[in-house]
Amino acid sequence: MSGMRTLLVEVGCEELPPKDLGQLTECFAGEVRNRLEAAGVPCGEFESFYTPRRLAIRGEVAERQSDRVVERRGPSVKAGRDAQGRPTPALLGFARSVGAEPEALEVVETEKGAFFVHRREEPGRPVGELLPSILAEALAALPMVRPMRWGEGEHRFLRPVHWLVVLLDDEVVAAELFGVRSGRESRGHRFHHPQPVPIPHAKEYLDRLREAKVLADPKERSERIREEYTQAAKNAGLSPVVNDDLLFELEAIVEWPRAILCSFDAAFLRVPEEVLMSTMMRNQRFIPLKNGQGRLSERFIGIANLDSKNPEEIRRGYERVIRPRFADAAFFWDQDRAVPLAAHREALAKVVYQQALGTLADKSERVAKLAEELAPIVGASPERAREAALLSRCDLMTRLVGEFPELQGTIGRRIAEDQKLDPEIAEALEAFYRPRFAGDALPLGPLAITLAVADRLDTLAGGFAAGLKPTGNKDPFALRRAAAGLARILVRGNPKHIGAVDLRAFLGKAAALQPTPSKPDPEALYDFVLERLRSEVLSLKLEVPEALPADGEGIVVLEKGPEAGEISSQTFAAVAALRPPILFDFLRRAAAIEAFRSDPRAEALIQANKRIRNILRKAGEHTVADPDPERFTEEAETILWQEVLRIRDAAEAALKGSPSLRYRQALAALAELAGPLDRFFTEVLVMCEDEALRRNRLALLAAAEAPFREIAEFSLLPG
Amino acid sequence: MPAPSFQELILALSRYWAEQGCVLIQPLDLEVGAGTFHPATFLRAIGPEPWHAAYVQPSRRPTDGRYGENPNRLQRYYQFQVVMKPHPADILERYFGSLEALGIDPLVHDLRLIEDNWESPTLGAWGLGWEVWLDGMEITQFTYFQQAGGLECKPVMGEITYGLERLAMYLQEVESVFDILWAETPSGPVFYRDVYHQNEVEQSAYNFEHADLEALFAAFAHHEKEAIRLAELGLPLPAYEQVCKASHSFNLLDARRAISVTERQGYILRVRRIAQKVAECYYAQRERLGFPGLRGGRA
Repeated sequence: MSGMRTLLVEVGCEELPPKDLGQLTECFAGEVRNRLEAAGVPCGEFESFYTPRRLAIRGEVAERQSDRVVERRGPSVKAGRDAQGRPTPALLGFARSVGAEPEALEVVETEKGAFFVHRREEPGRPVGELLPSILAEALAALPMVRPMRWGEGEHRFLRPVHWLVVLLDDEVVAAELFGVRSGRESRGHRFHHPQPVPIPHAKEYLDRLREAKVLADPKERSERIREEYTQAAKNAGLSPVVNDDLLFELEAIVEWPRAILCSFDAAFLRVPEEVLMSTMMRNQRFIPLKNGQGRLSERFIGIANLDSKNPEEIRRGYERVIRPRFADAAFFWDQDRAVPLAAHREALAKVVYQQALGTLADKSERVAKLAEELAPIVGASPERAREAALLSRCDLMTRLVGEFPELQGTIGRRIAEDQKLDPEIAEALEAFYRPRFAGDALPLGPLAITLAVADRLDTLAGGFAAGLKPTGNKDPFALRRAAAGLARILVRGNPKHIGAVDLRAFLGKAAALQPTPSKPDPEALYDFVLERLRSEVLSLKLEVPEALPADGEGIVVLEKGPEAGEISSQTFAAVAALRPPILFDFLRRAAAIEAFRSDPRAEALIQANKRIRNILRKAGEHTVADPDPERFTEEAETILWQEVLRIRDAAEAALKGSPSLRYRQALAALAELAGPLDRFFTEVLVMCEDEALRRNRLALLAAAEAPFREIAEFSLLPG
Repeated sequence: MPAPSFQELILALSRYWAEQGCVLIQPLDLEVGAGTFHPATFLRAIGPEPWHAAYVQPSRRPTDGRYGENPNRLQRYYQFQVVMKPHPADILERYFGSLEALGIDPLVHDLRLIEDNWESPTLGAWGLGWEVWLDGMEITQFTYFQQAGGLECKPVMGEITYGLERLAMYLQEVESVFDILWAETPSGPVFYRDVYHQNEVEQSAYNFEHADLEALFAAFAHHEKEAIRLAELGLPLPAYEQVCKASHSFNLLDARRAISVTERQGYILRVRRIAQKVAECYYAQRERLGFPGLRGGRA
């Protein structure tokens, strides 16, 4: 594009906090671009780069602002001329202020009357003149969690700023930010290339820095890190264990990544591998390696930030730093495994869970009671459920969980396995914490589900009992997370296990078990879970098969898929109005309604339901009695009544049928009311003069509506 | 270059930072948890007067004691502390220069600055900075003070805290702190164990088993009261020593587990309150004196 130039801005700093660095740089690019465009400078796409020591953006920008017409409005024509049509002092003053003769001013008509205006064509300024203030504003607009001051200055940024490069193609744009003047000199790697790196042209930025051992493009750096560790792992014949957090952090703390293959004493492998991996990944940013059987090996990879003259020295350093950490972990593991898990229950009785709710032992006992009752419904053994519940918090008393709090549950499981406890119980001790965050896996086995549900029931009831209900963004007891986890398990778990859990009844039981003088209201708890269920259900995609299967589940929950249907918020509200006690049943109703809405008769039926609701509300009619056929005067009434009788029976029969099909079959039957209802409304005046007649017609409508309200509140659906 | 002994390490750092313009001062003669408690850091971070100093500070962390049985943990260890206010723009480069002076080649070793934001709840102080990693091992804390005693630090003090034992272990390639060579002497080598092992054993016993709880609670209350009284008398320096003593009494009580989790926060707030009061008193005092440090001479 002619007239376009490449802008490069690099802010050179001391080592920046890695968190959000990418977002921050993108935000910087966006702020600059938006401000340029707002100033009338056409821009192309912007790129953003960063390393621990720099934030940089680069993009195509027009050479200068577009020319623009600047219009200034003066006095109204009324105020600008006197009775003789001569310019008043107001008009003369305005003309002077814009440097024009009064006669040269134009007049424009507006809603408020005619005004004098002055128009002037203003040529666009070169973009370089706009940049200093735009860059300063853009940097000031960045969302920084903890900016700092340094030296004697008043400037604030994430870390002290040392250099500033601002180039348009090959020209330096004079600017000053954070007390630093712009130039073309960047800096290379802190140790490999401490001297300045001149950037001859904005387009050469990445190349010149690469020569100075800096990979400024985070994508290139991640790619290099991947190549480095993949190659090192391959050399060792092992596979790397990485996750996004680790990769992201590695990429944000190096400029010139090199992999160093290291190893530790294989004797440490007797410690649970989660502990060793957590030490390596979280504390040291090392990459663990697994063997062909998926077991942790005694080798690992560290990512250094230089081409060392002697990488062996770094290897020895990495190996030395991990040794005392592993030795500590092994010491704790040996101590912990020597104590039977159940023996920690005594200690749990001394740890306060919450002042109003007693100790952790008290909580475990409440969870045990709930789990025992829940187990047969979920398909687990009540005895095991009780045992698992009583063991479920014992690992909190171990040294290892003290050191690695993120491994609570996992440590319990590993100790239980080591002590040869029931494998299903061992698994549940870890799995009941799931889902720990949105998108986490769910507990799978019936015992794990039982414990996961029982634990959250008690947490919620306890939280409400202790007055810790979340307000605004404050949720000290993480009750929202508990409710969301509960809702997810109860709609997304295997229906074989969760399909019959009566949430309202169990919230009642959990509430009654709380040790507080006044018990929380189970219905308020149910509402709270429903709020979380809403976001869960609205994000679900359901696959509803075309043909109704003879048996089994009629809906399949999918993450996403081309043929997937979504549940709308109106459908959610229509079902929620009925407060279904079983959340999976909630899902079935919602799925059936979504399927029904594609029926051509659906809209008419929803309309009819809304109409009936309105009429009954206005009439204040609460009759439950059937209409008296003797009082029918119109044929449409008789036909509707006959159809209601027939379809009501069919719908009732369907609702007693297979849980997975009942709502769809009932709705299929109810759809046949569309015609008779339509005819009724066309031919019959409900609110007629004759009171007896009117009441009979209202009763007929109430009878027609009733079977719909067994499934959902149809009047809340869009139609 | 052969690895420096522990005392050579202290000498080398002292010489290096003296050459950078720091006043070499001596440890505070009170029990404190870190070099930051020395008035040469905490009080000098307050107010506009320039200040550049370096010193070794024995640091006591009663809960970290392991009766001399853990190769990496001590209830009393040494920090080498450097403070520069205002800090020179190239303070980081100067710091890396100090490592080179110790024989650490930055083109061989992996030297990294890992974000670490420091906060002392008891001193009402915080700053932003890094842990310095040498081949993955933390050897230094680097902090740009932003607040001390609840007061904004203007200009900003740069604080460098070397963990001397860590650094010595790394340089001498020993796996236990007690194997650190303290000095070669004509009568043979002297090791860290010879100097301090028995001290770890006995002090751990005192910290965990024998410290007199009743006397410590009383001491805490007394020092707290004294700090307030002295600050009100316009004597911030002795008042500040009372803050240090209160803080150490709290640390001992903590090691004896005499303070419950719920009470703990309350004690921390009490220390913070007196630290804040003394900090304000100190600032007022310096202001009254006309900030003598600004006139060239150091008061």
